[in-house]
Amino acid sequence: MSAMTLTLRAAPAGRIDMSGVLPETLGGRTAGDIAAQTVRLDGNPVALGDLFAVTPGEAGAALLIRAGSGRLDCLGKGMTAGTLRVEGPAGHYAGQGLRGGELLIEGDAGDCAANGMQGGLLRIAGNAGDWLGAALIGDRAGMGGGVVAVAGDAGDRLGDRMRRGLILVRGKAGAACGARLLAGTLVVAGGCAGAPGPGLRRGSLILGRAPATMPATYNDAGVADLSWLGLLRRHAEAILPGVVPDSPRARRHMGDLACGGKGEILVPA
Amino acid sequence: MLRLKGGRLYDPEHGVDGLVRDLYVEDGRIVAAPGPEARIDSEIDLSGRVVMAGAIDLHTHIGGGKMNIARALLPEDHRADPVPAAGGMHAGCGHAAPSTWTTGYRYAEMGYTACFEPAMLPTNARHAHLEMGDIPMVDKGAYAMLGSDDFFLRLLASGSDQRLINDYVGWTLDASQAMAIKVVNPGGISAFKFNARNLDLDEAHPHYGVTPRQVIRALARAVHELGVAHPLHVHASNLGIPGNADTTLATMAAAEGLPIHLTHIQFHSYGTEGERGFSSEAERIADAINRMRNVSADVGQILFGQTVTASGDNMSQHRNRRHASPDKWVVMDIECDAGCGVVPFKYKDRNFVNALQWAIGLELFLRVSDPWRIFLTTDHPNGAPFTSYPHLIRLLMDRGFRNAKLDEINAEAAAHSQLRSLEREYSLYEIAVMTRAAPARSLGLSDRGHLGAGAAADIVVYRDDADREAMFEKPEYVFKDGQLVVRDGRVVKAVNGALHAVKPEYDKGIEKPLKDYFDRYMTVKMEHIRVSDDEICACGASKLIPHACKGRAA
Repeated sequence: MSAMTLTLRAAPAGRIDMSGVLPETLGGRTAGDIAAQTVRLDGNPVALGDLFAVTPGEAGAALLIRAGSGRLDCLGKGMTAGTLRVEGPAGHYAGQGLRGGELLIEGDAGDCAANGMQGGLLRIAGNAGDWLGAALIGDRAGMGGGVVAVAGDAGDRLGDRMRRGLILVRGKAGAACGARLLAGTLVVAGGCAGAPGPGLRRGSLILGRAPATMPATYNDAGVADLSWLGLLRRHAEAILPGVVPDSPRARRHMGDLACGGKGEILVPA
Repeated sequence: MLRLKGGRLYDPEHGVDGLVRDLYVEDGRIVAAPGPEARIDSEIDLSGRVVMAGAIDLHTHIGGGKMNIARALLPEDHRADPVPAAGGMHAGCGHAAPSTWTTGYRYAEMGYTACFEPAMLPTNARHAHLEMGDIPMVDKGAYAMLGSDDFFLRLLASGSDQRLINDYVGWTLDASQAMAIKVVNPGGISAFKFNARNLDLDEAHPHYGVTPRQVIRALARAVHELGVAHPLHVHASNLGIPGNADTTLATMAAAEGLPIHLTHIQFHSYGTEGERGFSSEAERIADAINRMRNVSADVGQILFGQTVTASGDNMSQHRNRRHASPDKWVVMDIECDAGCGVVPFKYKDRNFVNALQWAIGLELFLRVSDPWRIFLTTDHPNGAPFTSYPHLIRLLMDRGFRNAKLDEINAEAAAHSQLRSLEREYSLYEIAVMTRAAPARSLGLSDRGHLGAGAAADIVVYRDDADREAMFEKPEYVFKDGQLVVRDGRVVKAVNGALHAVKPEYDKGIEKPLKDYFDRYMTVKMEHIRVSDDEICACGASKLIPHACKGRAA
């Protein structure tokens, strides 16, 4: 099956909103048809064909965006099925409201990736910006399902208000990692900057490296053998190997006690 | 000079019902037919077209704080309805609570040229004027909300002289740059803060001891004696409660013959009959309006779909919170001046209560015989967003369409309603009355709402289409103060509207007790409340149009 390919003609002159450019909407359409699709450049309507050279592909095939750019926003926004591969970096809001399918970014992603994501897989080979897996602006709950796998680092407020799903980060996370987390599982192999988990209500934040200090609103609940860590590891190895620690033994900090304290931060014992 | 040639005019202020006439426009005004020597710079042939003055919405929540709360509460409303920037127009968003720019464009695109915000808290006046100044295309004005503020309730409770109350009302109109006075759930907003969850017309306020009837009487008299054109604008007690029709009728009587305007009367025309204890009292209410010449009303029609209700009536909104859809709501106090409640709402045609509400609103429209005293509103956004007006006009003008819709709603509600038996269909002339001439007259806008010489050239041209919804949705031309601003239902020129405000005479001596009151109890000084004339333009309005008031002897 031949992939549809969009090849960026030149470095974008402004920010391009790629909403609607999805394998499910473009698959099986002719090159002319795809080229006529409207996207927005700095808010103004532009034909997709003016910005990208289009090679059509079969329905159901992957969509390839060649030589991505940090100025391509909303890649894979609202995607429900199929594969969208970006051969390079992505801009902001990548995988916003993703519901299914696979979004593969082979470079860095900007801010607010996977905001309001409900399902599917988002893979970022480089670093992710701030607010990864957080809520859509104004919403009370963030990511509600699916898996995000980041091979590099993540920025500040990783998983803010996240409610369900799994985020795996092989590198480090920025400040306020797991802030206001409602539920779900957040794994950061490289540890995080500053105090983790402010306002965390439930859910698990697993850090591969303990922070310099734990926030005062977390209670050290001692070292425990958590058999579910083994299950998680087995599940996560298939997605992003070496992120979940290989020992089920972890030091458990319960919190955030300022918000009910039903959540936990796990650090190596 | 511009000649609009051969259009069919509907100008009820001058009794013109579908006469073919030319209109002449010069310097933003409609002028009398000039002699043959006059130079006509441009001419538009309007043969076969329907021509009316610009429409006026006298009750639409477009500014003043609560819409911002609604916007903040409903990010999904914005996400689902983005409007990109185009041709000099700003980008915007929102269906039930649109952004300011989008509000102005959409109103103009339907042929509206003036909108009045009915619930401006005096302490919030500066914000309201900033927000309204931001709304392009249309002229604006606002009604200052009184009746649950402590200063007024203290005056009333201490048995103050009516003249002192008049001065306070006059000061409030002047300081807040308002066009009229509105009272919302008279005294009830204050009573809610004293833990009352209900306040009937003759029930004493738990702290001040005064009744809503006294509040209405004092304010109606003040408005009348100050000579404000628009009568006291009353959002009556017991909104939405089955059986509230009795309260509504008693509220009409409470004005004791003085002019009174009852707003969103659909929400106040409910009975308690039937198995579900919810029935239509539209007939009784409409009969009373037909009988009492001092009463006018706007309907507050509901139409099915997602919207958000925003009201100063914190008591009712607190009661309605359990119906919030999506499930989130805000009820708050604002500077001890009044309150505010925002509850998102989805009206469903299969729901018995919602379907009956829909029928009650239409019944009221059809049963009130005098279109000069009943106005077309949905209480935007409480009954439906204002963009549904064309649909509503079709429901009123087209019985077949109305009955077809009646077949789609909850069957039990349809069976309970007498709507099907009502044969009346509004004429274009009557629509022109209720959306143009009557609101202009009610508000005292002598140069708006009509097409006579000297009127502001706010002119709307429609293609005559048997589908009235399509016709009123997309006017062919809209002129605002003589400028072509909309062509084929799309804004072609963005302009700023003016602000209308009344300037009543009152004794400035009221500022002494008021200043003491603000110094002692309030978070800001009295001087900070006052919005000066200069500020109105700084807020974004093109100009301030003052309306002098001729005081009437007590």
